[in-house]
Amino acid sequence: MKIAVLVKNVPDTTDVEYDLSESRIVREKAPGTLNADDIAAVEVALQMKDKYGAEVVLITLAPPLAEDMLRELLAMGADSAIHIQGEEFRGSDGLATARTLTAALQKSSYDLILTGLRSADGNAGQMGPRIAEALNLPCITYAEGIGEINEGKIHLEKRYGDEIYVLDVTLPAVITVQRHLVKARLASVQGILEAAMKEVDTPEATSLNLSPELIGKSGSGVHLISVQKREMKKTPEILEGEIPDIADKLLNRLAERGVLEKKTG
Amino acid sequence: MTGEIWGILEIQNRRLTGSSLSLLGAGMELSRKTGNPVAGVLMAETDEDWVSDLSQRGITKVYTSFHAAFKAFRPAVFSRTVAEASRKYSPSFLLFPDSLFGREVGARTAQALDAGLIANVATVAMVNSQVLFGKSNFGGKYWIQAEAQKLPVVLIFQSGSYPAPSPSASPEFAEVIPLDAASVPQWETLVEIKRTERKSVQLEEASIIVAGGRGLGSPDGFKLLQEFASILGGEIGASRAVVDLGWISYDHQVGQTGKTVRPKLYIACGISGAVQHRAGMQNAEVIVAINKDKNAPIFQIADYGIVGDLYQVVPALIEKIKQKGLVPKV
Repeated sequence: MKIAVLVKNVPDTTDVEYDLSESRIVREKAPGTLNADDIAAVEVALQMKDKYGAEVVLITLAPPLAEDMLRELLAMGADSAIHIQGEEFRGSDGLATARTLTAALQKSSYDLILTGLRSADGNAGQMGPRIAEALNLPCITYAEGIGEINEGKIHLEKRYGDEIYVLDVTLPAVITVQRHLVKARLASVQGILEAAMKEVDTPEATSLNLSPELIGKSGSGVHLISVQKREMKKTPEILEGEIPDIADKLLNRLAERGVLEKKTG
Repeated sequence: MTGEIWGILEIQNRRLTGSSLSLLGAGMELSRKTGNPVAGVLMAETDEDWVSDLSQRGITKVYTSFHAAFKAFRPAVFSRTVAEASRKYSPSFLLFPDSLFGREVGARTAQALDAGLIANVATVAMVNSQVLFGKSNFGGKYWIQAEAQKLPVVLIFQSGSYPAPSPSASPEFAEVIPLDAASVPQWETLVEIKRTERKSVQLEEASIIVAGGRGLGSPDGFKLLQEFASILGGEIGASRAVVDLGWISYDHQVGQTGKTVRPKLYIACGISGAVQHRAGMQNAEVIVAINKDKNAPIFQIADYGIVGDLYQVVPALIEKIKQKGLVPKV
């Protein structure tokens, strides 16, 4: 069994730099961090590796600095990584990124493609379903209770509104998970030593047969037009006094604002 | 750019969801700005008179597909039905609800149509004949505007960004255009559907949310908040910190990695207000913060602040609400 895990390096939210001319967030100056949902996806893949002896391949589209992130995941137990990089990918939106990752996935054949439910920066949750559509595969987002694989099907649960769907899904399939699903393991000392030796392939656009108009800013369906840093401060009214007085004041304010009213009848 | 604005509607428990009605409001606003007409897209197992509901809300054209294939939630059946219809009728904007359904079906549809997608849209503006979609990013620290480079584009508006159109007294008639349901491989076998005992938390649709954070001190604190929420007819929200601690389940989490809510009233109890939490609730109409620490960042976005012990303040509020006979105003 071969499992691909799509991982994303996201900027540290305290310090983000945008470049509007390239319709993007500048990612090559700071190392960033690994997207939290994606760590859970890696852990799910490694649990399958423990159980079924699967080969786990990490795939990312990220600037060169993200290699540290890949080495950390390789130290946890992933087998190899594909680190797609190059200036021509700058400004990729969800559409251009999905085309890029799909091209990398098509270079091999995977039984399972795992990724995080959503990323901390884009926060759209589009990559899993997009990849599934591009490869004509099922996608189970927000998977819970991931169980056994039997006869080419994976048993899992998915919550939808008040219902939990218990499903058997034909492989290959795309599954997205959320960070609370599993607790990621720590890398062992041996894992860290081995990680340095593991293979990280660094394909560029040409080796993935991606022409320039399909990727980066020019391949994107959406462009960033303006960015403004926002001052979120309000000046609150601090209610003071004895506790019962404070309660009275607050409830009066809420009635004035039309949130609460006196029960009629 | 004269293609229609399609609102792809979600039905749960045999009714149109709140986020679906809300996206119609967004669609109408987009229509006012661009002049493009709005149409609804309904996909369900059987017709339940939703079309007349939509026409009463001012929707004069509805694409419908009623088919057994829509009974279970198989996202690709919905997305490919929309994609096929889209190839035929060439709409310009495809609006999906801000929900699990909307995000999954919206993303698949976008990929099928080789289209871009903008999520978490809060505003639409027309600037120099460009249609710009505004949204906040990184916990509200940045406000960005994005533009579609080609059409159609998939848009997911934040629930409640524009008010849902209310039904009018004089019903209008809507033109109905039937669509074929797409045929999709039977990838998923449904073993069973488990009904969750507790109703799932509908934070996105709640008009009052009482939320707790680490300042509760222990998971037991949520019992007090539950009592508070009950008399207000509200739901319970939580910060990521207490969800990570296992004090309450993830479906209560508000913030960047949880739910984005826009209630009339948000009462933050013992929540310090990290930027990631604020991202999920700062658009509440009225924000009340109760916290011991007067420097807690939650006060920066609160309308009313109470610096004090929530275990004294909340019981006092409960008592006064009962005493005064106060109820949420509908």
